[in-house]
Amino acid sequence: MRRFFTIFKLDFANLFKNPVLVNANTCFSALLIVILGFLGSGNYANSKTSYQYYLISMLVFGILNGAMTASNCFMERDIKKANLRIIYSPVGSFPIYFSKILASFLFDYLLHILVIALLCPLLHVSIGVHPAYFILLMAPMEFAAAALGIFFCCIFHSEEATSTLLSTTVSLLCVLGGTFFSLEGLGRTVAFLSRLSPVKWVNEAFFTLACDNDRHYLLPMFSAAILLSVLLVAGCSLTFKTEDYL
Amino acid sequence: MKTFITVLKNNYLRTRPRIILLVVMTAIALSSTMLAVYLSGVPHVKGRVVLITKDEKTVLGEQSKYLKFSVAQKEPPYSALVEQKYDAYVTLKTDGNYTIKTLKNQKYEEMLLYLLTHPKAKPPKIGYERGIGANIIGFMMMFLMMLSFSNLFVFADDKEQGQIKKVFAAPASFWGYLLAHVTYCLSLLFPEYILLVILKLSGRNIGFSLSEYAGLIVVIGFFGVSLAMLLYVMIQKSDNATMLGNSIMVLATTLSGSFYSFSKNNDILDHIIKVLPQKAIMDFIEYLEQGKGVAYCGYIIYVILFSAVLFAISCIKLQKMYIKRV
Repeated sequence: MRRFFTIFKLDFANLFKNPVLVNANTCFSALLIVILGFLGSGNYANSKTSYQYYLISMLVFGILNGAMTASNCFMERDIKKANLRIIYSPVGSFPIYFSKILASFLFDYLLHILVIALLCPLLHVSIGVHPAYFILLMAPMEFAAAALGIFFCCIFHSEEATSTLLSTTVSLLCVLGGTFFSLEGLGRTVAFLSRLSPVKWVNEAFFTLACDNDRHYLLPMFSAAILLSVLLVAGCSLTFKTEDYL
Repeated sequence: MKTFITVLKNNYLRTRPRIILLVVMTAIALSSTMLAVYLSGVPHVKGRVVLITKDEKTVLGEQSKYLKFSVAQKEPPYSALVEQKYDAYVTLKTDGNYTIKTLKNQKYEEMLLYLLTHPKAKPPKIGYERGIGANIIGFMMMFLMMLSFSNLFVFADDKEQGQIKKVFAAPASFWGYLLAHVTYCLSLLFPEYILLVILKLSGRNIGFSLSEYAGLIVVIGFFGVSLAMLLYVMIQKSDNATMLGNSIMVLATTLSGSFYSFSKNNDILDHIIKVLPQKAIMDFIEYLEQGKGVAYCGYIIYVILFSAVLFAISCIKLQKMYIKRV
């Protein structure tokens, strides 16, 4: 456990040392929310509605993009060498990927909470009567996203391939899930396609929580995300091969 | 010329281990184009309205075809309005008047009331609606640029692993090397073009002519490649460059309204957005669609110049880094 913690601490600190990652999760997310919210506000009677829409949907976008943070944390060129040394050490291979999942999960989670804490009062947006539920629901989603990033790394053995593939997939799922604009008005087929995108359901859960204080989706989504995380971590342990580092 | 051919061949050979990735990315880009084509064929609905009534039989006799009605006994949650699942909740009062609950602006509410009371009338126009060609290019743009970004991986690898130093030290042509990468990236956009050709041949309306599409794809691709190359040159680690580049791309492309045109008018922001090449492309294709392409060719020239400047900066920087300092 102490060995694991040592690795974890280094991974966690490493993430904060990467300016691109820190900015992508704070400045870029906040900018997207503010700019898109501002642009969309012309359609509404009250510009607050537009900010609320983009705060929640862009947050989900940010959570999913956490997969890229994880893949970067796992397979960056400099870190790969360090990983190789851990393989030779007596701690085994499990801490290599699990500490990366945990570190990027915590990193994204903290930064996203920071974004919410700053933007909500600034834009007068509410995330529900009990913000704790909202924050709580974010946790397993962030974890699942991080695990997804690592899982893709284990399959494709390359950070670059993973992040390209993931960013494209995430963008597509988000467009389908109505992150940038609603697809409901575009005909029945598209509305159906939209329902196939998991992003749609994640959005639904966060929106009902923030706008109606409706906790119907909380438990199912929470458990689904946890189940997915467990599956992904199991997938990592099955596909992680030390030979990839040689 | 010799360098050009050698590097180009080498690029294709190095694509082989990444072929799955390339196929997936291309498939996603293609499906986005298909989505645009499909969406353009769907009739435009002005509003999705929920009629709240206790008695389902008293549904409106005549309904405007520009509105999509659904009937509910109880008011749907507020979040459905925020999420834009519905545009308005309408209750029919006993005196025959409507109460409208919507989050949209006054103008929209007036239009909705007008359509409710005049079911046969045409809706008043709010803003400009773009055609199918602009839609296709708008949906393709982001993916085309992402493709150019990831397809420059050979250059990024060369630079990160220091091979580029050897290339430039060898008796190889500097321009041949760079042009080979640009050509390689542009050639991988070919499947998109093939899809458009197939759509055209199958008799679908795709807005522009095939030669116009070819030109636009090359311009967009070149812009993507120039930006990607500049970032790879400026930033040491290629994965950081990719991440930054994709972020910039998503932000700039969304801001230019490639998927969805925004209606907010704000002078300062409008001026800022106008600088974006993506916005210039969108503006240009809208004019092209109206048949005014030649008169407004300044937009597309701006994009080409912008890319050329980016490209020139990377060239100068590369020469400084690897050639003059040897």
